[in-house]
Amino acid sequence: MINIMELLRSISIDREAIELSIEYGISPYMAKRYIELFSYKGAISFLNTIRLGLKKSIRCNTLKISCNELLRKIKDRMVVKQTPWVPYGFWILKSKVNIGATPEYLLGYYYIQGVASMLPPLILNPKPGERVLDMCAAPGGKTTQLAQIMENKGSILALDVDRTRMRALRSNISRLGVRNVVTLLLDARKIVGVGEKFDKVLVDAPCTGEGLLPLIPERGRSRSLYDMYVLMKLQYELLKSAILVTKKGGVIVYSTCSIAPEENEFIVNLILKEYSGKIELVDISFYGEKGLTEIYGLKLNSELERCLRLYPHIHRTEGFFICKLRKKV
Amino acid sequence: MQIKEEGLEKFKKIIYAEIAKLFGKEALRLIRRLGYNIILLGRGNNVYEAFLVNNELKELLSIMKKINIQNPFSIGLFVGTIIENKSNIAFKVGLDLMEYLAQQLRRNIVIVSDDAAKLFLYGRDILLNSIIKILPPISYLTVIANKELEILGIAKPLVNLETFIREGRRGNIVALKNVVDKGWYLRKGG
Ligand SMILES: C[S@@+](CC[C@H](N)C(=O)[O-])C[C@H]1O[C@@H](n2cnc3c(N)ncnc32)[C@H](O)[C@@H]1O
Repeated sequence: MINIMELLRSISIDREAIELSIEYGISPYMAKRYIELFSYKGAISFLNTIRLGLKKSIRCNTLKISCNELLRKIKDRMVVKQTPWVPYGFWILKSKVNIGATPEYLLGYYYIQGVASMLPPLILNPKPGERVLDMCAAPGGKTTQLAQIMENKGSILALDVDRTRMRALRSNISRLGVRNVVTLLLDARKIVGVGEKFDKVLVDAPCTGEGLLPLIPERGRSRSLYDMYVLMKLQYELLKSAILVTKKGGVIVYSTCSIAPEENEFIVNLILKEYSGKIELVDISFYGEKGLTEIYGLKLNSELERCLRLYPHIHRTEGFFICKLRKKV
Repeated sequence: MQIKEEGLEKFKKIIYAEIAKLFGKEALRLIRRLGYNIILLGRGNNVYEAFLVNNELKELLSIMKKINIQNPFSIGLFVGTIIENKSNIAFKVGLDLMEYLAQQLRRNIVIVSDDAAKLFLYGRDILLNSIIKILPPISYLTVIANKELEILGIAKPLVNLETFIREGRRGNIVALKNVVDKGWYLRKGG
């Protein structure tokens, strides 16, 4: 991990990066990384998309209503378009009302959720009756979607360390009519003692949130290289814990709302090295780009191309990274 | 929050008796048929929260018990709050359970006009004139729904609704007092 930090520090900030950083109000080291990731033209396109923002989207909660019925109810107030990947996901093209305060929202018929953020539960694909662990659960967008996929059957253990966000999780569980969840205020790294008990595990890890820049532009300046280091350590430990509590043959989905390779491929790369022969990556065949296998002049495990990357300027979603791991039998 | 095990039977009895008062014995049969059990979480100061849990969730709790983690924030379906004083034990039923049972059993529901439904979600009471229909028997607490039978919250009848409706009485008197409504998700809960 330290080596990765040294590598990042050694990336020299050139004129192009400084110009971008001034023009777009982001830190120079971030600008340089975007150039590395997308080329100069791509970085400009990415940063322009951040300025423009993204369309909002909702997830229809089929635990409470059919999507056709929901569309019928909101059609006079909202113009929506179904997303190509998630059958119950809809972009809001136009709305006469605040989508977070409609009667349908209060009745739990939908959850306001980015389209990319609907993918990790879909890719984890838990079956009704399975035992699922959601390690970083609050405020519960993905927990409640997992419950929706599981038709409220089986069980989900939802962990988080933030008490305020936990309250929001509980409120969302109640609003959306979810009945198969245990919520627990706990550092997810402390769950390892239970042993290999879960069929499926979701690690929607805390991250710098670079993928959310189109929604929260202030993050472009506020995060430092040191913040990234602290998060990388946590992400690595969380994913490691996930592996320890997954049954043999079980599946883990690791996701972040960050496009930074440091928080994504680098973490999974470390895990693949450590658990060589015990973990395999499963191909995610979804709309999006492949995971990176080489960045900053560093070669990574070639299996990483099985992961998925989504970018605001290319896919019109929040920036996201998703990787599906299987624990070999 | 700690899972309460001692003296649980006494609390369970009170909770089941209240559920039967609100939705009849049928509700208890439904809970049993679905394999639900009651679990209590201590909140301090002799206050407990009750939840209905299925067998899979119970199994999950016993796994967590093995590593001495026994303090969930919530589990399964929220039933209500129990407050134990020196002299008595009070049970306050929660919206999640009321909604679930009303939907399953189609009873103890008051259906109100569109305008009244909107105002109810802002915390307002229900006038007698706003009632369109009732699905009896109506208990000491009842569920408020709109014309599409969508559940909006819980209210306390201030008059004998079944008699009033049977006799066709009308008027701008407050017939039901708002106890909790789903506007809460925006006002406090979101
Ligand atoms: C990206 S957010 C999760 C979003 C959530 N999955 C959803 O879909 O609504 C990351 C969460 O991880 C939590 N977190 C941070 N460190 C943690 C830890 N050690 N154990 C468990 N949760 C943690 C944060 O409080 C935050 O709520």
